[in-house]
Amino acid sequence: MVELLAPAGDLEKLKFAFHYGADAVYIGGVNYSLRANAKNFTLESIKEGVTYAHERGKKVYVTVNIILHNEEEDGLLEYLQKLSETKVDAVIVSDIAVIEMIRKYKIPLEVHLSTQASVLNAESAKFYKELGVKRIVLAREANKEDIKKIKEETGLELECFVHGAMCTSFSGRCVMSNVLTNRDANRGGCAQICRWLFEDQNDTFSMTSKDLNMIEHLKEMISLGVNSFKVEGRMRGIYYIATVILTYRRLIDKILNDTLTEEDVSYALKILNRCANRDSAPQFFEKLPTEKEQYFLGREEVSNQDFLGLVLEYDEQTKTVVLEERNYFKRGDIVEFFGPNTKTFTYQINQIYDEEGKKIEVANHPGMIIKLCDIPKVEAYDMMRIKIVDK
Amino acid sequence: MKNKYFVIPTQIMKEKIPNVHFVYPLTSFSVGFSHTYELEDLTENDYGYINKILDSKDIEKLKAKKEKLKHLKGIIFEDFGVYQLLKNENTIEKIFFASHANCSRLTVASLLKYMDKVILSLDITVEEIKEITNIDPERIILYTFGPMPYLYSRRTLVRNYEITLGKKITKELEITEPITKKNFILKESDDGTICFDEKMLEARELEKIKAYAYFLNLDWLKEIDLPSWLKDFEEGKPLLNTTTGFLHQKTIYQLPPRKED
Repeated sequence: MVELLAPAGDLEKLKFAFHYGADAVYIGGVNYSLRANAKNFTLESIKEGVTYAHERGKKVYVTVNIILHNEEEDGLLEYLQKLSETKVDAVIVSDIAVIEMIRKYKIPLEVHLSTQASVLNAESAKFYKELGVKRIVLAREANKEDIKKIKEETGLELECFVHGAMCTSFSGRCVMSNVLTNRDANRGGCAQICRWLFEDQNDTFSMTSKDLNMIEHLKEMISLGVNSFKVEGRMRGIYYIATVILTYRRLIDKILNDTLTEEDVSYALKILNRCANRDSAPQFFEKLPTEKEQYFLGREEVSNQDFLGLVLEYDEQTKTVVLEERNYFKRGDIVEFFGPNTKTFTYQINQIYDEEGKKIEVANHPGMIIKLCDIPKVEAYDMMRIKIVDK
Repeated sequence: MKNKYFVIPTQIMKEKIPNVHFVYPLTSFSVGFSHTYELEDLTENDYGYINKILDSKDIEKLKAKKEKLKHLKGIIFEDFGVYQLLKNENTIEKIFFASHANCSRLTVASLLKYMDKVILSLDITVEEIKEITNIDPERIILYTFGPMPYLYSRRTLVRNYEITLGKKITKELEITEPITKKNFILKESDDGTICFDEKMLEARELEKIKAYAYFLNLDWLKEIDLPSWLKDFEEGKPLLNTTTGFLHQKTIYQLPPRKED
């Protein structure tokens, strides 16, 4: 079985990731994690997340993947010991000191090597295997030959990114943020300088990468022995997580059932392209990326407002749905409902009611509670979005 | 020389200089250098330098050269695959140098369980360097002069840009960040690109810290007489267009809370 691994920036996102089909999530603690400015998890909320996951047969991995400086040394041992008490399924680590500490003090934590360690060859993987690492998150730069060789020669569990943003640099090999903003990229402060524009005399230089999207190669990746498909984005919202995870869940299941069609792949690409704010490509899997996998002469990042509402309740008798509004919609709009147990369907909004049952023309306050009638069966936590594409 | 130095010269050095070890970036295994060298051109007194993140093809190529590698005095590298390949070869000295990952006492102490020596990273302060070096001064080397690499990409960033804009293909580009007006130099090999500060690091103040040796990367210098350049360096002759990098610039990683928070 191949694992679908989702990002979760907080407990709400963790629950949505599982609800929409993730087998495991990766989360960051308040300290020692590379998204220092995300909400992140306290030890208490990690424990709550782990309990929630384990009750559903799912897993939680915690990132402890900063590059240590002297000032982070105090407290690390205690943190790792407390993490192990929360029963997390693994820690994702990049600094060799963290791995050594877990070994030395025999802390019962499974170690996964972070992509920050940039592993692209089997010898390097063997080095980490001998240190007790159980799984390697390969560098995003790994091509199919690298994956094949590392799997064949080490037998280690391999985790590969399949979707989301790319660093221009090898992850962990960039301190541009440190230089230009004084924020340490390798301790969670990255200011994403590789998305800034630079001057080259009279022209504009850019090094921005398009995103990663491995939809068309999932089957091949499974045959190469990849154990876990990882989606990037601990800072992303619940709509993005739900859409991306559900799309990958359905494709993986169809691959495993041998029922995947070209139409499925094409539809998935359309959904994912609409959901992201940048173009995407398979990047390094088959060849070294060229200029086509980068942005140069400016780009538009449109804020996605497709997410119209979150289903809170559904009354089967009256066929009424109670929604929490997320983005503006009005009478007459054509929308879609989707969810893990709901076959995506299209619906034209003929009437909108507010919380008190009063007819309104538009839903224009994020967070407002509204009701829609004559809706086919949906479930709580399904989502309503703008009608995107026909299958 | 009074101090011990590891020096990347601008050409193969036939003459020995007391207390100086020569380090040569190896062709096909190093990125961002103006000069690289074939393994065959080095002697048993020389150190090879591999700063590339090696993929499966690279490691196979390196395996094929293992017999020649074994006869070097030492090898400096950033990819643990090199260590794994050579760990049972006791005659070759193994020196680990990750530009941005050897940043704490615990990390360096862990590395020294495997490596003969470690070169400290470039993004730490003088105070941090002092504290780390204290754990084992005889096995720690300090980067004291040379280019400051800030970003290492597997992409050919210069070429991709020049193709898109229909420019002449080069392997080097100077760019400016328009808000800070800070200049950077991109240097590209077939296998990737390194973005450097336009200024070289000048960290002679680190020579006050007792360490095994000091590392000087002279790859960018042109037409120098090495013995006299080293003499001037050791005597403190001023160098133009340099930076002290992060030596006195402590970085942060969590933004202070906003006022309304």
